[in-house]
Amino acid sequence: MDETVENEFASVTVAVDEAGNDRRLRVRDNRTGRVAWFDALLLETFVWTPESELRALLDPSRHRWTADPAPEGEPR
Amino acid sequence: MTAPANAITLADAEQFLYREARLADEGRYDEWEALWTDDALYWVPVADSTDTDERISIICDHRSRIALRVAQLKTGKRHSQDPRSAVARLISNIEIVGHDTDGTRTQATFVAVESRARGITIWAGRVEHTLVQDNDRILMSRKQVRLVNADQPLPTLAFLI
Amino acid sequence: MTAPTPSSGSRYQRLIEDDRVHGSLYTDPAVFADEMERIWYRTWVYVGHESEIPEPGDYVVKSIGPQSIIMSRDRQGGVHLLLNRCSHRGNQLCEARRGNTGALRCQYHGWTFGPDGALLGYPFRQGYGPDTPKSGLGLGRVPRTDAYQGFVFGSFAEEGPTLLEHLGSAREALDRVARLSPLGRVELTAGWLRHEVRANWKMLVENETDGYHPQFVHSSIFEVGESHVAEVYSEKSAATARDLGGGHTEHDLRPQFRHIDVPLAWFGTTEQRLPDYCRAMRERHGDTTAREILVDGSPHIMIFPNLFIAEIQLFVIQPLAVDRTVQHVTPLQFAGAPDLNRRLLHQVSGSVGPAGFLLADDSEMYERNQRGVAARLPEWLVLRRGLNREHIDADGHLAGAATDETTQRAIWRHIRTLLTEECPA
Ligand code: FES
Ligand SMILES: [Fe+2]
Repeated sequence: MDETVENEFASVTVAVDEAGNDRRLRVRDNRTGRVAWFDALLLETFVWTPESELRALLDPSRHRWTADPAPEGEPR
Repeated sequence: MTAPANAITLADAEQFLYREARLADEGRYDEWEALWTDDALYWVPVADSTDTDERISIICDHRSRIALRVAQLKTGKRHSQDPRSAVARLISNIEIVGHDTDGTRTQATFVAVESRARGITIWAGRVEHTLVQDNDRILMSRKQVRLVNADQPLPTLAFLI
Repeated sequence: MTAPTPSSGSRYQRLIEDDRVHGSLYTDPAVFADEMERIWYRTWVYVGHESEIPEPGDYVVKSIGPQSIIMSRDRQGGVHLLLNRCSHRGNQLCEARRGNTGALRCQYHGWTFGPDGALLGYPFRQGYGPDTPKSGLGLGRVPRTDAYQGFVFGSFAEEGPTLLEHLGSAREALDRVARLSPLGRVELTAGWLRHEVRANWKMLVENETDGYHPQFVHSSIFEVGESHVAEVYSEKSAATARDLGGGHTEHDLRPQFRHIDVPLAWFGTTEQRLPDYCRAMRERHGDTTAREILVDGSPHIMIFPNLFIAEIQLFVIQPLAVDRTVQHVTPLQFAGAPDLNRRLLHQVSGSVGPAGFLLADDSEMYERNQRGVAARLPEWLVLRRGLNREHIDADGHLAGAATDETTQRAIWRHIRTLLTEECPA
């Protein structure tokens, strides 16, 4: 079932995706339509990620809004 | 939506809403109070509140409190309505949105212009009524007023909105 | 608009006398500007309650006078008071009044901040070069933040009295409020009404502990409703009007309710109507203490300059301009007392806010008072009531009868102290 999770800064739709061999979360950025999948191991990793690294990920220049070329074979 | 045989018609609902608005505007308190059923609820929520038991409301009057509000106005010592605000209200876009065991539900849009020493205040919003046929009269069992600015600081609202 | 020139402290020595104050104190924009600098952006001001941000990442938008303040909780549980202004080019950061987020992102150019206000980054960093340090570019913070019984206060002064010093004996009132919860915790979770009046903020502060007006302003509701309030504020009342120091004032209603000696009389109800609550209180405190607490009831206290607790509800006063003030009000709710809370919510919905049986008429008076003081003569407002019968009570506080102006004089004495001590530039 689709669930919207949002605050005034972002809006995503979260669903449990059954298409693969294991269940995972499908997350859609509602403002851009971009979609990403998060499996159990990845989510577990987030649970163990320290605050300082999460804060670093929130830096807008880190991945999304940067002039740096995208890593090999990745869309930007 | 098929209306039950004895349902209130749009024309009758409109006449009721116009009359309710006029009695409130003119401060005809007893006649206005007589429009309510015994199980009435008069509700003006804050912002998008959906529960009278969870969040404070601007007005949340069950029948006895409607009577208290009217009685207070009639003392002549309700300073915020002494003198009474001059009010002119338009009610429009009236639709019947459903019939159920509680009665006939209507929705409408209103604009009320209030004048007092403070100056002119414009009130506007959506209003929902539940109307019930009581022998040859129509009464209201519920009136819910969603002000357009219910999420903002409001000036005193002491007339019958 | 040019900013008014600050007045020297001696001006206020002249305008504020012990038993009368000058009308211009309510109407002059220059006085308002001085009050902002010397009172509101200096002393401890109540901002919000911890129960409004229970979870990590929660935030609410609050205020200190005209300043918009974000009260946030970080992932470690710490509470922060941040100014609602992006450190880039000054955009207002939060538009929602409450929310939950791991970071605040400005919608103008995407600068992103932690719940503690630290700058986490900005888009396209290449445009800033290597020597733009993020550390100096965080959000503005209220320099001092502290809390007592979950009530969060902020002070724009880097130094000064501690919160506990500021609260002085008013702090006991916050203990009394918390003690009414079977779990010892106040919760402000029932939403807010915001009532805007065209009046100076001091008219509200002075009215909150004015026992002289209820018989007149509220006679309409006393006539048609059942209320104990009329007796509490009569010449026969055993209640007193007290100066708690530091501009804090209260009506000590306990003598009156001890005289009545019925639990919950202060709330106009009975133990039979709230059996679960009363049982929970007895379980926590034992029969004797529970009874004392339930007879004494909740305080009626104006904590200077903006927190007013009136038995069953809590008001926050927010000055916006010399003649514009918003009064925020919420029902007190107590952890572990659902039956009491429901009753409080419904009672408070009836009495306060723009359509309230009580507050609509108080507000009408604030606005008439504001129009009235604009008249040039007789220039002064008279605050002499009860000077002939004030005394020092058993707790060492200056006290008068319930209807006396002991409280207004106390408020003005403190305002005069603050306005005449000039701020360090
Ligand atoms: S003003 Fe906030 S990012 Fe530019
Ligand atoms: Fe009052």
